[in-house]
Amino acid sequence: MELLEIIQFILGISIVASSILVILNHNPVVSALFLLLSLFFTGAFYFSLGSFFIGVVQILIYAGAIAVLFVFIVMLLDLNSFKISLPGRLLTHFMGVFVGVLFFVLVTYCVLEIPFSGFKESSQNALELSLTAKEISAHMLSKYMLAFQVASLLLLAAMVGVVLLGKPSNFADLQEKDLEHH
Amino acid sequence: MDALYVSLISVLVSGLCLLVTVPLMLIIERRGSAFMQRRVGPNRVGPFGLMQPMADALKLIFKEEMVPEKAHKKLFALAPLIGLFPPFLAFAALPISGFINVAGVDYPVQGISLSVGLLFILSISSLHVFAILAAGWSSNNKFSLLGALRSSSQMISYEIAIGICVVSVVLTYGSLDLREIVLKQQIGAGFPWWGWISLPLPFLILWISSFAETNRLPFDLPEGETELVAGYHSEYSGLRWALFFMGEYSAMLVASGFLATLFLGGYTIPFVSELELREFFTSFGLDMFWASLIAVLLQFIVFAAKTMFFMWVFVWVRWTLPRFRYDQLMDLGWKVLFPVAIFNAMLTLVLAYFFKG
Amino acid sequence: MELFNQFQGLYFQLFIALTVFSIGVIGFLIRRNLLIMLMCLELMLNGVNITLVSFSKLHQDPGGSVLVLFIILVAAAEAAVGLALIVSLFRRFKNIQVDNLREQKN
Repeated sequence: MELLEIIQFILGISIVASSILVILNHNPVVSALFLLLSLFFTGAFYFSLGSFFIGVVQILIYAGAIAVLFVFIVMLLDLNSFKISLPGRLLTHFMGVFVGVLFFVLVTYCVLEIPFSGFKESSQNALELSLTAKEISAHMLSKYMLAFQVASLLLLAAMVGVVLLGKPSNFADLQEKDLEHH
Repeated sequence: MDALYVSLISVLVSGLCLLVTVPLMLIIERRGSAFMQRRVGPNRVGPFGLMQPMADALKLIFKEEMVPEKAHKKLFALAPLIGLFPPFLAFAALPISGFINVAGVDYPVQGISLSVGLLFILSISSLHVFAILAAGWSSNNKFSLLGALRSSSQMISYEIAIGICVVSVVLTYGSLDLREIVLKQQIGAGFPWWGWISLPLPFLILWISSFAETNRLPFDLPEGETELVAGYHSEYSGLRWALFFMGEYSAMLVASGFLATLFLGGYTIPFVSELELREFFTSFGLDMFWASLIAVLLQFIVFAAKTMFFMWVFVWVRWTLPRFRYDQLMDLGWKVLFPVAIFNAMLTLVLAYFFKG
Repeated sequence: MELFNQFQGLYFQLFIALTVFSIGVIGFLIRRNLLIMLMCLELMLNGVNITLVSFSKLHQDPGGSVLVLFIILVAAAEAAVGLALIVSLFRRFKNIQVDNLREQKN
């Protein structure tokens, strides 16, 4: 077992452990922080695979922006920590777990039966055959140029939408406030 | 296994640099602020007060650590450690010095030599926000939470300006690798065409934004002593508070090192290239290992000098300028620095197109 | 199963990705708190990303990494909009249990 494989193994287990802790916590803030941990370990996992650029982008955007957004909103909204299993929900929980586990087992079986082929040199020396930022960006800006432009439009639309949604001057809020005065 | 030992040693060396600088900054801050305020500052504890950090550390270790009653105990204890961890990682990605020649092979003096070092430092610095949020929320104190939210929104707003300035830096130097950026600022042994000459606006913007990123005056409203008690670390006492401050000084060191690497030529000496240095020392009959070692030490001293210059400016500005109000702070980040950074990025794009074809 | 010995790294990476995705699915179906459901959505996207990166590494094809970049981008936009929706829901209903949306109609 090479050192790199050991590191990949440890990081993979850490990702799974943090993800399990995300869904099992009563407190939303702690869940959000475990989500951050999971995303950070995923970035480190990408580093150990040799995709440095994707790892850095993952930590920069996912862990450094999206997770911050989650933690912010969770801290701003004063939530009471609800228990996971409310009375009368046992069947729903069981069905949920059953669906998840069934999906897992089925896809594992499919993956183990697929004959993988058409690969280039083996990915043992992971860190030497790395996908550099130059290759990725050359591909993105030549072959996937349309997707790139559409994605920037999507970001613009999302920004405008979020600002609109965040404005507190809704009709419903105004009505309640007027009612309170009288 | 060889690569493992090399990387362990380099990471240890960079961690050691960080650990040594923090007590140094303590004494520089207290004596420097004293001189600026026409008083003497601590000078009892050793020659010229140089052992003061040790006295401070001892005092803080023996202080009683109070934990608020309804605080989230685990997160409360973990938050200072979350704050310590990003600066150590980020400092490891900075090129501290040149190449050291051991048994015929050149090893880079850098904690971790990455090909995407620039973005790595940016991404790891954005993890510092979580230490503040965790500390503020777990204290179960409205002032702490408010200070934490203010601080983190300030940090993420100024990160945007930093990101766009980094875009123009990458356009100019054509690489994300910090060592290549440092080497390109030397251009042989002629005039040191340092970063701030070819990129003056990003230099200014990054400099101002690094004040906001490290929560230093004039942007330290979240931890302002007269505004919010002590903001997100009000409830921390004793060793935990010391760890927080260690984290803040380490973040300052990373920001200074980052500025020195991008804009002041990193570890390169102005009119002398590393090859010339090594030849100079081997002409005395020294072994290649010793010649490269002396060259590495000289370049390390140059890097330390440039970084300490920025650290001194951090201390200088803290005790000179008044504090920004919160809305003034956000206005500066969004309405001034962000458009200027975008304008500069477009300008750099046009100039890069004309000068590089 | 003969390929397992040769592609041990790949199978481990796919296993991790699948586990994270399934945990996201289970969490999405169990938890009734809208914020946690959004977090499980992000977990699912994370699992898909790990799959794509490992295959991109295997074939040395940058196309997979480009798709990962786009997925991260879209996830960011979607998380922002989803959180804005949650905030306005919270203002309206004062709590974020999904069951409330079924009972109260405007």
